[in-house]
Amino acid sequence: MSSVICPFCFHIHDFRSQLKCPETSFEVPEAYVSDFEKTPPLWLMTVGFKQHGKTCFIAALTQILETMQVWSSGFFVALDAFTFDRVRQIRAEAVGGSLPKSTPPGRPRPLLFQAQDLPGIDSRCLVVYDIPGESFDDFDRVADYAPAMRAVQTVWFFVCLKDLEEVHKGRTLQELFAVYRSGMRRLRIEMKGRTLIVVFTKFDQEERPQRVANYLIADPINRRPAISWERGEETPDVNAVLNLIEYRREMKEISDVLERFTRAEVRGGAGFLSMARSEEMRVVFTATSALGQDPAHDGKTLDEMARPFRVLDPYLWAAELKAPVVVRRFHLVLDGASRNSSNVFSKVVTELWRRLASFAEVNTYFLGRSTRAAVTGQPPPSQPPGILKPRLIGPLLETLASHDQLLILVDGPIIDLRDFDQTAWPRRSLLVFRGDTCQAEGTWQVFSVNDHAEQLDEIVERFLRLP
Amino acid sequence: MQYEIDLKGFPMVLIESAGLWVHWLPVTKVQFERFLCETGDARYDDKWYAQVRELNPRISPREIRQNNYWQAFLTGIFPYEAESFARWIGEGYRLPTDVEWKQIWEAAKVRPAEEVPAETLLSKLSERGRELLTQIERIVSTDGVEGDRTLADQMLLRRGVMEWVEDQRNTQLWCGRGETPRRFQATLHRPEDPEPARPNEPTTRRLKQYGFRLVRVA
Repeated sequence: MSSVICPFCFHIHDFRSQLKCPETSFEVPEAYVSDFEKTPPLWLMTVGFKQHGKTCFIAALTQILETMQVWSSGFFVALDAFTFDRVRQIRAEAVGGSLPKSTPPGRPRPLLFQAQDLPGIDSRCLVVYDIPGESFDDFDRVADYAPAMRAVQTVWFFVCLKDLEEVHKGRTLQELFAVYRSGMRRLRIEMKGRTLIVVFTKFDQEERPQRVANYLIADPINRRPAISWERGEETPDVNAVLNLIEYRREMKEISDVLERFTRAEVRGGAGFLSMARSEEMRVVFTATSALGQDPAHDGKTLDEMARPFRVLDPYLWAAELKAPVVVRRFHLVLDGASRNSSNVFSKVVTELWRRLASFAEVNTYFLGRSTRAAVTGQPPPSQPPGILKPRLIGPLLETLASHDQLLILVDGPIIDLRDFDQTAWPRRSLLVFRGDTCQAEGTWQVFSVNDHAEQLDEIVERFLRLP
Repeated sequence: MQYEIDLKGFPMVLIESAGLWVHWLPVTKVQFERFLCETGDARYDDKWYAQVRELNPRISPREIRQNNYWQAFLTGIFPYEAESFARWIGEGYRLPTDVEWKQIWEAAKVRPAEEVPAETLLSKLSERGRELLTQIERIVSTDGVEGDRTLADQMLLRRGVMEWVEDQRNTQLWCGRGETPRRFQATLHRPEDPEPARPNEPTTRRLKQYGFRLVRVA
């Protein structure tokens, strides 16, 4: 397979001739493309505030998945040099207790892993976008993550209950979620239908609920028997160590227990659940311990070797829920005939594009052309193309995804608009006509303006109200 | 009957006796509009299409009726413009010669009409393309054809448009084959005429009844 969803820009590209993403210039790993059907992507986003154990968790999870290679002919591997380096850094941070380095500015790139034929786990390519929780407080910073935040539907939401009390004095679970929700809202990203996998980290520090504490300790992966190849001991059969059917059943019960616990005993827990449910999000809970112990007195080293407990659970939940990526895309369609007033009009269009780009990916087209005049991230061209094409929109509409939205700025009748009267396009498009050029458009939503510049706010507002 | 899809998704049918894949219908405006949107040829601009539509106005697939279905087809086009379209479709697609058109007609006129195999014919089309072909088929199947309906009726080799074909006498020249509904353009040409229609100025004067379909050697 060569046409696949790019892990960097979320568009479908044909990677036959080159593996470079044309929009981000990041190199897509060859294995991601060639094994796309065998190991389809598992899209994940991690949201974790400082000191809530995200770094240690990722280090522990990658180690556990590597450990599972022993029991099978499968493998778990970083797919590119970026991931490899980042994992090494994360592990160093987790072991050394140093603070994670801040993410460099620019378009964020995900960690890419391939997990293939591991026992009891679907073969998947993990695409993990790591977002610092604090960035949700900063609009400019969170905007860098906007494409991933829009597309990825499953979020690992890291929370350490003890640190919530001690480090973030007064910041409740509800407040952490509110920061996340506020960032999403500012970017106008709908939360409905998304899955929040709450990962309670450092749960070895919690004594209650007793059922969960027992569950944590009983992690069969952690309790696998040690073998010595020097003594000629064979690797135990995976089924003797791990019954994944039973494991998953118990994991779901624990999620229910943790939900009840959160509602009743975690500060802001009930409010958090109500808020998430009011956004129509699905919420599940896990309890993990990446180290299996408190750090030593210096807060940086460990008294014993790290022993992760139940770090596989968030991964199994994500794999089970199988949420595909969803990308919100706007298309700005311009009329090549608007060239007469190009100076003023070009400024208006650029401003319009700028505003829309903070809510979704925006592509620009001219009527009568089915190829893009500007791709996502690129402002519209300042001049229309030289040839004035017929005002046709059908060939363009037929290339777009059915959930995309269109803002069409037009100075005259569109020849084939009526062909689409009975489709979903009229509901998802806004036709903006200048002055008296408006034509009766049946089911289409039409807005007639005298001056684009003066009525820019209204155009944006009307457009964003489209379903 | 064997079918295939051209490189842009429109259906073709195999006429074995002629050794040709032949477009199921004359080229429609919807098909040609894709070409207009994709070609970089400056001739095919807004003004060009306005001229063409003035001769035979455009109609939406939903509005196709017995008294206007010819408006769905692209007519008023010069033969060399049809050739530009053929090159855009892909290598091997071209206008038929007069002899080839007659072979197609001879084979299709004796073959009974068949139910359109929607899965094969329509599967690669857009929703609009499917609506267009389905609507034309519905209209054509209820049109008042005397006697049994044949494949030729179904393919609108008659009661469709006049179709540009290459002249056998001189390959530099163009002539026409087919038959138009009277309400579109009254002419006395018939598909079975021994000689094709020979317009006086095929490359300089647009003729509203002239469209085309493409063939490809099987």
